[in-house]
Amino acid sequence: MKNAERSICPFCSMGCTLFIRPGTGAPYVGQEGIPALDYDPEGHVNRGSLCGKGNMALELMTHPHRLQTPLLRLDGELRPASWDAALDTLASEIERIRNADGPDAIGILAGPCLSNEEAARAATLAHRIGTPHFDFCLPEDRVILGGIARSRAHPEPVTSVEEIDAMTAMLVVGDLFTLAPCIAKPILNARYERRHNVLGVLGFWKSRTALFGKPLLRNRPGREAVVLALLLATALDDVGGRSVPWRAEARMVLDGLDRATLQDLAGVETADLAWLLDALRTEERSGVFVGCGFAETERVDLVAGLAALLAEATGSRFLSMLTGPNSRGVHRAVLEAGFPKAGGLTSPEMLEAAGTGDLTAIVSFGCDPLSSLPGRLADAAAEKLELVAVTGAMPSETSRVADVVLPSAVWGEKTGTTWSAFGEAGALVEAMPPPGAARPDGAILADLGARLDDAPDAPDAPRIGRGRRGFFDDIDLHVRMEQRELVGREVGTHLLLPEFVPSHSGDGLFTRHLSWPRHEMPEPVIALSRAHAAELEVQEGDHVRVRSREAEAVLKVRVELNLPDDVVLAPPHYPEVRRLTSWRLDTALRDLDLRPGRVSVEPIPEGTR
Amino acid sequence: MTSPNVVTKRIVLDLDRCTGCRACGAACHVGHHDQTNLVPGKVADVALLPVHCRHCAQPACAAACPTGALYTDEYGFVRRSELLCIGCRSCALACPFGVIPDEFVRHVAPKCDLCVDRVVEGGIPRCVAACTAGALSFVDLEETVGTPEYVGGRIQSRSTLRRA
Ligand code: SF4
Repeated sequence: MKNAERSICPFCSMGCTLFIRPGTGAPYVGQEGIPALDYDPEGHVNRGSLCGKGNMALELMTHPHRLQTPLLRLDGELRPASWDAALDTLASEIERIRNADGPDAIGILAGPCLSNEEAARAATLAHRIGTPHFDFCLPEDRVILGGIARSRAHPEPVTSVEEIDAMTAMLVVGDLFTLAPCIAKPILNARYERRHNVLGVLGFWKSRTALFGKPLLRNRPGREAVVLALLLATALDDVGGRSVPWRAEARMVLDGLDRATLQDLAGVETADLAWLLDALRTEERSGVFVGCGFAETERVDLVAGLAALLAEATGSRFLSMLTGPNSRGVHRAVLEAGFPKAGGLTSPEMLEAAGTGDLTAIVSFGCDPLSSLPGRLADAAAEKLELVAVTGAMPSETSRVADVVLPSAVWGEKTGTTWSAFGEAGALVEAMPPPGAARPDGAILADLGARLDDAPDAPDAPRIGRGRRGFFDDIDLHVRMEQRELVGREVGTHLLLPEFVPSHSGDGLFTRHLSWPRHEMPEPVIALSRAHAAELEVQEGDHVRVRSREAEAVLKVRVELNLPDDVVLAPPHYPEVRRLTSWRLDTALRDLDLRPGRVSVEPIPEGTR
Repeated sequence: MTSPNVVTKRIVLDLDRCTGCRACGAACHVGHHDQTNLVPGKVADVALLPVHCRHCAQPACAAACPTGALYTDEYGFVRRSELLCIGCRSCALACPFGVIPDEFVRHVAPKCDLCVDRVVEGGIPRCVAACTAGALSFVDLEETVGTPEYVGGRIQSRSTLRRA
């Protein structure tokens, strides 16, 4: 493709590449000046493929909802403003709050859409303001990264798709093909190219990925952690006196629970487990893959941590897929800059502190905290905060209540580097200029920083420091194992598990606006088992009322043959579904407790909707 | 059809590899200005597969079209004229494979054109390019039809529909 720029897909951590040809006229449109998208057969992770999200990359860039001008809230209403006015106002507001409440009344959030450099700049801004509260904000990804870090496992990472191509034993935890469809190609290459290979898929229902399981380890809903713990226990026993790169902590995970209990809880065929474990340990090229946000989660952090430990114990390579495009890079930038500092809060803690009035301002870059973390925490925060400033490419839940909204560039409109699931630095290119007055977050951060430099320094008095411990303090996984109940909270009758859809991503911030995801799933759908639907006397396409302890919602029914009767699935990309989940702060982990909750489902009588 | 331009390549699906992610549909949707010409087929609640237009040698859809909107072009592709199509759905009823979707966009029948714009330049259709699982390929029918795995537009499954 002539004049085409190779860009990175802006939707997940797989880091697929694609081509954008600016302004040469797309076929069927026949108009000059319309950019075109093309596939990249030489793309080293995707070899040309793009999933339902990736195909929308160009639409994101040219979308009519794109924010194109800075907005300031004047007399209660968001009004267009110049960049100078918007940045001056934001800088003086930050100054004012810093002087009045101290620098630690201000929280800074960084989202997964920033480049590594932009994340580092956001850290510099936090330094400059003097606040200890700076953190990465995308709950699903934070929790998984936290779980892996806490496990203190150091498995060999998968560094390229060619490694996957050559694998002869693999374990996939959860519905990875739905989260990052492009990973299917190398995994299926490995699955079909050799006769004697093993692709274990751990999951409770026949998801898109589970269909390919050989063996399919069908666990009880929400018991992935138990199966992984069981595999780990067996692996540890079997290695006996051999010297393995092993840690005392891993043993502790399992000490509290005896094998028979685990076996009983897991509900998976023992022979399958043995077959899989044997393959992972003896095959030279093996891998363990986890996807964040996989449908079948009990405690995402625990599942991820145990999977990492298992990879290490069996000498397999490890890959964890995240929903955010640069979650890994931004998270890393936050940690490398030493945040959150002593007394600093994590992102969910910031929302909590905002709700109690301890934090008066939140400035967020490249994320939408109120839609990522909906529910009571967010409602209280939105109510209490004096200053909400947000950069973003699209209108969001946060921009709706914000005082300053700054339009930002998306990938394909800015330069920088990223960090994909394969741990490689990807290069962002500016294939097209951002629409209207939108600017890259990096440029916004630089300008804002310069304005703050002009302002006099405020006294450095910590106000809401709670003497919290460091970010990844040693909270042993085994403690978590004992503390938690092994089933979801007992509200309602059915376990609500998140179902990702291949055309939607993460918190749905962008994908909610795009035409293909809307075509695929125009409204949120709840999947019920056939027996459950029969019991409620509802059919596919009917609407039902779903109640959880947190909220209630009206959702459209999809009947799913393979689902256990006590489980329902709903896509977390819709705010109404996200609100149904229990978003609680786990004070020991200092992160969200993303355990699935229970809901009750009722039919809606004809004509009352 | 004796035109020297005839393209004998067609889209073939490997049933063993399709994950049902619908990336092919998304690619079609993007490439055809929000008109999705590719229908998903549900197989007994087990799999969701794309069902491609075969571009038949004697197209039943064209025979059923009252306005002559459907025709075979110089490449041997069965095409639909946006201008002549009146959205009467005769083609959708006539198609033996059910590949013409019922959802009409801008009042005309969605109809696969094999991404002729790309194919004439030596490229491959968008759905094939985008396939995330390596399940779709664009191959010469004359070579494929003779092979034992090939059955009516698909590579026979070794395990897909039994893998459940
Ligand atoms: S798998 Fe991820 S990176 Fe690849 S096209 Fe899909 S969303 Fe983009």
